[in-house]
Amino acid sequence: MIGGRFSIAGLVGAVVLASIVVGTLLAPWLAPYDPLAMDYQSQFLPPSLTHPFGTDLFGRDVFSRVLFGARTSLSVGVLAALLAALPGLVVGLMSGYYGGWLDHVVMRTTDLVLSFPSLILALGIVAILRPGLVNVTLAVGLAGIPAYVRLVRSSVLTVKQELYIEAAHAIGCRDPRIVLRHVFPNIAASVLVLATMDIAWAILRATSLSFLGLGAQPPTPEWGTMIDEGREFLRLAPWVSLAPSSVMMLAVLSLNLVGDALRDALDPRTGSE
Amino acid sequence: MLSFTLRRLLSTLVVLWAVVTLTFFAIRLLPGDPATVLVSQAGGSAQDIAAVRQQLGLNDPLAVQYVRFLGGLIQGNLGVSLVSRRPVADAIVEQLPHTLALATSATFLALLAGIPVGIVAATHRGSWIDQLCIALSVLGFSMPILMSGLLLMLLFSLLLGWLPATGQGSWRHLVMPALCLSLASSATIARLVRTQMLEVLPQGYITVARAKGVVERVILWRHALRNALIPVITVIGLQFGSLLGGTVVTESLFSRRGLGRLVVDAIFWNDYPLIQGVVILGAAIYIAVNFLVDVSYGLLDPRIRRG
Repeated sequence: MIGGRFSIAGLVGAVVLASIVVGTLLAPWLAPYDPLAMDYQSQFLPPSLTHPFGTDLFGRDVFSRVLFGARTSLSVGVLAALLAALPGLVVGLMSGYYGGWLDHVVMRTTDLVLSFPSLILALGIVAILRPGLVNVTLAVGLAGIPAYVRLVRSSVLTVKQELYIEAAHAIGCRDPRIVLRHVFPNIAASVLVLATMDIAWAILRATSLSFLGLGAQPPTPEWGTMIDEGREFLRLAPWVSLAPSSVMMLAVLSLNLVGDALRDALDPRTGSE
Repeated sequence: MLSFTLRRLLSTLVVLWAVVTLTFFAIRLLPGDPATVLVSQAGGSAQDIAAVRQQLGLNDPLAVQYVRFLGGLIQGNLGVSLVSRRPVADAIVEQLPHTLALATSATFLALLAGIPVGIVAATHRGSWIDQLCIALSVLGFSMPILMSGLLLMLLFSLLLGWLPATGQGSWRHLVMPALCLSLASSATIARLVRTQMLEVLPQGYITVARAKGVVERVILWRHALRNALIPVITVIGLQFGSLLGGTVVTESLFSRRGLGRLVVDAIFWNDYPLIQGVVILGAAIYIAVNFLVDVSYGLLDPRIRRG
C-alpha cells in the first residue's frame, strides 16, 4: 500500500525517527556516562570527543542526559498519544455509528472541551491532578481526546454511506461486527496519521510543561527540565540547553514528516499536492 | 446580518456559561481544602480553619457556592487569591496586557510572514521556490518555541547584542518572544494560503480578469487573495488558541511577566481561585476571538449569513 509513494522528505524523516528511537532503546548501552553522575572537575566542558554534547553545571555528560531524556520524553509522548487515541477512537466510532442523542451529547462535549486553548486545558488538568510527570502525561493525553473523537466520527459518517456497509446490514451482520470488521479498517489509516503527528504534539506539550517545572523534576533527565537548567547559562554553555532542544526539534520534525508522508501514501485524495 | 450576529452571540454566551460551569466544578476536585491552605500558611489552628471556611462560604452547599460565583463573575469578581489575598481580577488585569501584547503581535507577525510566503509558493508552483517555501513551513511548524527562542537569544542578544534577552519594557523586548511564538502559526498560514490560492487561481473569474488585461499584481492581491483569505480568517481564530497557550512557555523562557507566570505560580501554590480565573479568562478570550472571526466571516462572505 505504501510502496514507492513515500516521498524523499518522508524517508529522511523515517530514518531520523528510527535513529532517535534506536538511540532511546539502546540508551543504557550507548550512553558513555551515567546521566546522573556529577563531576565537579568537569563543569561546563564544551563539546569534545569525550563529551560529544559537553557537560552541564554539575559536570554531567549532556549527551548521556539527552539520550536518557529521550526515553522520558518519547515514552511520555507515545503514552499521551495512546491515552488520547484509544478513548477517542471508541467514543468517535460509537458517536458516528449510532448517531442520535449519543452523537449530540458527544459533539456538544467536544465543542465545550475544544473551547479551551489546549495548553491552558492541559495546565488546568495538571493543576487538578497536581504536578508530576505521570500527571503531565495524563493531562496531555486527556486534552488530546476531542481531536480523535472529531476525526473518527466524521470518517465514520463518510464510511457509513458506503454500499458495503449496507450490504453487511443486508446479510444480517450485527453492529459490533460491522464496526470492527467493516468500519474500523477503513478509518484506521487516518487515525494512524493523526496519531503520528499527535505524538509530536504530545512531546512538545509535555516538554513545555516540564520546562515550566510542572512535569519531570530534576535531576531526572528530561528534555524540558534540561532546557530550563541550561537557560541561565546560555552565554557560558549554550550546549546544555541547545542539545536537548535540537534533538527535540529533530524528533518533532521527523514525526511530522513521517505523518505527512503517511497521509500522502495512504490517502491519495488529500495529498499536499 | 443582524440576526446572524445575534444567533452567534447567543450560542457564544451559552458556550461561555458552559466553560465557566465546567471550570468551577472541575476546580472543586482539587485536593486540599482552600481554607486549610490559607490557614496553614499563616500558621493558624483548627478553629481558624473552621472560621475561614465559614468566611469563604465553603460550608454552603456546592449549588449555593456556584450561584454565588456566577453572580460575582457577572460583576467582574473572580474571588480572592489564597496566596496574595488580593482580588483575582486585579492580579489578572495587571498581567493581561503583557500577554495580549505578545499574542496579538505574534498574530500580526504570523500574517505578515505567512501570507506572502503562501502567495509566492502558489505562484511558483512546482518550482524550487515552492519547494523551499514548503520546506520552510514544515520546519517552522516543527520548531519548538524552546528551540527557536534559544537560537534567537543566542544570535540577537548574546552574539550581536541587538536585543535584550529577557524582561520587558520597550518594543525591543517584544521582538524575539513574538517572533518565536509566531513561527508555527506563520507556517500553518503559509500552507493554507498556498493551497487556497492554488484553488482560486484556476477559477473562471481569474481568467476573465487576465483576459481583460488586468495587471497580474492586481489579480493576485485583489481578485485571488480576497477569495483565498476567507478560510485563513477561520484559522487565525483557531491559531489564537495555540498562541495563547504558547505565551505561557514564551513568557517563562524570556522571563516576561504575564498570565503564564501567574498561572504556573498559582498551580505550585494550589491557589485555586487564581487558577480558575486564568483558565476561565483564557477560554473566554479564545471564545470571543472565534466569535469575532465568525461574524467577520459573515461580513466577508454573503453566502454564510444567509445560510
